[in-house]
Amino acid sequence: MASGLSGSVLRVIRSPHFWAVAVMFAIGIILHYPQQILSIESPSLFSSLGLTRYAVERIFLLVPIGYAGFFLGIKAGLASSAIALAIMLPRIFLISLYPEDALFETGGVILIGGLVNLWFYMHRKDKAQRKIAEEMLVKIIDGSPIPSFVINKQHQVTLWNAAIESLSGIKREAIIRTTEQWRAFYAETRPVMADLIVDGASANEIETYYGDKCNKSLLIDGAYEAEDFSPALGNNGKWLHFTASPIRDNNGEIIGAIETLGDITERKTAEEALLKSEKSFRDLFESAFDAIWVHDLEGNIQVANEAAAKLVGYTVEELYQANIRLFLTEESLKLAREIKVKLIQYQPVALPYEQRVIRKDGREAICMIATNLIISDGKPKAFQNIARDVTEEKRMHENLRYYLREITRVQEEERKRIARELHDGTAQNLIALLRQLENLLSDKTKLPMREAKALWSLHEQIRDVLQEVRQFSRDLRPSILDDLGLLPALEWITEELKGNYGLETSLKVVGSERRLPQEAELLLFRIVQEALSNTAKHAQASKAKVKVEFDQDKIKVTISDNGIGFQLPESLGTLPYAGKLGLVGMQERVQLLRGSLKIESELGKGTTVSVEVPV
Amino acid sequence: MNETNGLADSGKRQPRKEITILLAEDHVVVRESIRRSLEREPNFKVVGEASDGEEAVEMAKRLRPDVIVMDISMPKLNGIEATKQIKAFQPSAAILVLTAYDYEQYIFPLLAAGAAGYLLKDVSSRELISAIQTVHKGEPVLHPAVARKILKRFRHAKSESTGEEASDLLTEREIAVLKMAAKGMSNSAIAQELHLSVRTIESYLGTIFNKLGVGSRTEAVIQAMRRGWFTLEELS
Repeated sequence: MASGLSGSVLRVIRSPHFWAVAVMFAIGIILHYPQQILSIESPSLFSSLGLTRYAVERIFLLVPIGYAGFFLGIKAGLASSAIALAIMLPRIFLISLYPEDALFETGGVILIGGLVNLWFYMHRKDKAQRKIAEEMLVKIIDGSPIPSFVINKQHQVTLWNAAIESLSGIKREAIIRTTEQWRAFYAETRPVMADLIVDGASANEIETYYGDKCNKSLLIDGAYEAEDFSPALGNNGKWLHFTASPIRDNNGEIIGAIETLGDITERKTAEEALLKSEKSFRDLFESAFDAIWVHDLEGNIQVANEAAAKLVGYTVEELYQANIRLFLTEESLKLAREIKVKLIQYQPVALPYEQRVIRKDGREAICMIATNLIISDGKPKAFQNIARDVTEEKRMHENLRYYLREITRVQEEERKRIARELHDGTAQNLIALLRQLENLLSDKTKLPMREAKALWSLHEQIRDVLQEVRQFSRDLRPSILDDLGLLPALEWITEELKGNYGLETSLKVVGSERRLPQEAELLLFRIVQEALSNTAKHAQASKAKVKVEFDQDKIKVTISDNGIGFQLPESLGTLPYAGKLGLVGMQERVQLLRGSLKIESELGKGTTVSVEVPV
Repeated sequence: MNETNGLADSGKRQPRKEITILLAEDHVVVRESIRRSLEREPNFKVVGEASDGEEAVEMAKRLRPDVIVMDISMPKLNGIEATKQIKAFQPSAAILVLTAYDYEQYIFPLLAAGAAGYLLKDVSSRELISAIQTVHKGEPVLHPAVARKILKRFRHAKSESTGEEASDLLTEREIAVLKMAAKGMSNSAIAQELHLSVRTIESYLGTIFNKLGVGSRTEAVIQAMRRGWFTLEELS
């Protein structure tokens, strides 16, 4: 302390103020003790000024106290008071005629000096404190990584921190004390948010500048925040979030404003990218050809696209918050539930599956749906369905089946008709011819031998034609099939084969035989006919077997031979042999009757054709 | 002409000089040709021509021909149906059915209906004439192999056993003749076997036909089978 004290004493002594005080005291002493020091009467110098020696002397005692207090600090002020007191005391006790009054006066002087000192001290302290505070603030703002600047009531920039320097590219020195804060953000002069705050602008006024991009700060009273794009900053401009709040003095008056900024370019671009991708997803969702809808575990629809609305005949609005019950029948619901249970249990589900929906207008639509489980936080949350309307396709398919059936029926009818015509008409006519010829030849007319022979030859030829016609008729449609049934027809055909090709064919019947629907009998007969014909023509077989099994609800016919067999291709549809084509055509007809046709063949081992039809 | 009425007739059926024939065929030219060829035979008399089944039945009723040659497929009433109906009032008529198929499945119903035999439609006139003569004489019209197959079927057919024994109806001689006829022996063969003349055999057959109410050998044999008088084994 002693060194500190001596240090400060030294400093004080060095200060010119000290000497000013000393001089003033010196003059004060002289004026206080004029007779004693200068042996003169109070100088009348000051009378011209209207001041008594007394007043002047007081001035030269008071002033140094205040001066010392003001310029040299409270300690100097107190010391000065002490010195002033020391100066005045001798006079009181030694010279003054009225020492109590003098003491009283002195006390007054000291008091005033003390008070003045105190006041100076407070003021100085206040000032110092304020200075410290200010310096602190500047330090904080300066050192903050948040770009900030402060303007005063005159819109001059009083603070411009390092962060905003690097953000804006404007150095502190260039902008401080200027009103060019707009330069950092805009191309032309306009108020920044801080300017508006400082002017105490109303919300409306602020809105005119920033539109709906700004709003009142919820944290700070009187502050506003906004987001805006500044094309001047950075390479391609930056998105900034800025907050400006007023700086108020102790009375609440606005004396300045502080604005802080944040570079939100990255976030903004990410937001925009997200919006864009969301939009493009939405576009995709909306414009998708397939119906897409998502519903929760209870079946409440959460989102649906236009195609989905079209599928079920409701509007998108009607679908939102509707339940899938709206367009699913009891049966469809049952299927839907089954699928969903499987999905939740992670069981495999064959996708897509066929489902029927009821449209708003009551019509039924058929669609193929792929359903997926949506999991959130590890828990099943919803189901996404993507469906395609296949009603038309199905109808077309059904139509095709119908047409195929019709064509087949017509074809068979035609064959039947022709067969009958040949049989009842042509054959009969030929028989008539034969008989007439016979009669001609038997008539007791004298036919020369040669002519008779010729006629008999004609007779023979006509018989051959008759046979051919009969055969055509039978091949087209053996009436035995219609009149007596499948088994007699099969018996007949096996006998024919034996007669025509020398192929031994056995016929075996299993189960209780019965008549079947004409369609089935005809088809089965045709298949056997075709298979045996192939065997006879191509297989070089010696034996063939036909087995007919009558079951309760189906009939199975197997035709096998011990011939050379043939190479089975990948699928029946590519069978190259012309003869086999007949069987390929049969497959369609078998499917029409909801049956199945299978051909098995191994080179050198023979061929087996098996057909099964439910009846 | 005799107004015989089947079973009630006790008179012997003799192979007469003249055989009355009824033709039933819807194809005009065929029918005409047949008629022309039949008329060439000295002891054949075509007494009527029918062009449909109903007409055939009606004419048969009226004319009582010995032999009826009938097409199986005719309008209004088919051959099998007509056969049944004619047989109902004239069991002694011998009906030959013209068929398109000689398939046994088709033949069986014919014979079950009471036909004496069948012929293919394109049968020659000569064969037709021969068949008419044969059936009238009581000779077999069916080919033995076919006959066998048919008889097999009748064995499985519903038995029409009336409880009567063969001996109740026929004499021992007649049974013997019938048995041999069932075996497929020709009249001359039977005659030889029994050391009788062919005429006698024919006469026996006539009586048997009358007693059984049939018009041909085939029918007689079938009747016997139905009544359970013979077994197939006995006949082989």
